[in-house]
Amino acid sequence: MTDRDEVQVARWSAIKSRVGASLRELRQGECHGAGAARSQARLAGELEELGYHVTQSMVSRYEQGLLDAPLTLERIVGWALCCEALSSQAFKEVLALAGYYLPWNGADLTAFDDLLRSYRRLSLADQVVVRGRLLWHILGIAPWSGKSDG
Amino acid sequence: MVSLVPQAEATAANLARVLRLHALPSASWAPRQRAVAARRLLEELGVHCDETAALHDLKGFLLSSERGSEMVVSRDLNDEERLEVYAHLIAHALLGPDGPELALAARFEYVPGRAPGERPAHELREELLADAVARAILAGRLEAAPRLIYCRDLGPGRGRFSRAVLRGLHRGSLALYRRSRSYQRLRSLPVVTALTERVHSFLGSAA
Repeated sequence: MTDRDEVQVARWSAIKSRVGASLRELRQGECHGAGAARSQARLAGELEELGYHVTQSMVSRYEQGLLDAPLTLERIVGWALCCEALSSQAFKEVLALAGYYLPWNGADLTAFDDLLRSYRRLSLADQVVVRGRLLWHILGIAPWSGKSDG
Repeated sequence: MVSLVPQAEATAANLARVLRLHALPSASWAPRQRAVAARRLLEELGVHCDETAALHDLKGFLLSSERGSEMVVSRDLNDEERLEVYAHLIAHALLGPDGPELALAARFEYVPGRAPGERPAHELREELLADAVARAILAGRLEAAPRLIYCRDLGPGRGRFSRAVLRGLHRGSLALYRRSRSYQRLRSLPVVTALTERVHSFLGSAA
């Protein structure tokens, strides 16, 4: 194992329980009291549709903070987008827990909540298409935009 | 930070111009060619277009971020419908948020009868306005819509007074256009369009 891997593993070990618990809350719709629960199997299936190979067992172990393989930013964002309870605030919080900064101000957060509301009113087939594109756009957001944090 | 479509005003003007040229009797193009020309133009102006999506309730949607702008259109649409979706989404881009530009923005185009029942009032208002502006784009006559929609810079004007009058007239026209379908129809008449162009030229040109 290289030095960098050791650092990554140490960092992940320090945060995996909190990140896992937060992602479980998102999946179960407990975040900010909104949204229906997703089963672990359904979440794994939806992540598979987004192109991630995350099994139901991995979902379970990530949520319990048992997996040593770090959950990547891409997987965290994909996981969050699959959850009915996602809100801009919950999104920002879960990313912050994992050590990522979401450079969105108040207007961006409000617009994202509006977007999520419109997105959830779509049929499942349409949601899958929009989610895939949305993932790509969110992951492309530059970490530093010069805007103040709202 | 991004707007819904880069250079939305130029994109709308160019799209209307292409559609106007392709509607001339001497060079009348088939719907297929018009749709291809529209797509090519959008791509050249920085809007990625995908016409292969399997959509159910949506005819298409527009997503914009720092990654760029992309229009995703249902693969089940015919050429005319695809063209309408492009025009409609560009109309939304023209009408898009006036305030600070957003990190992520989207617009959805629903299949008639499949739009969700409880849409916010501001979304419905924008939809009605986008209908009218899209009609102007499709007719190749963007000038059939109030100027403030497709050109927010009204120019220097002849002086302070004429600039104020000009701005007042355009704002009034836009406010009426937002509220009244009758005014939308009236505003799209060639004679009214010509009149407003003359008034604008008179008051808007530099002294």
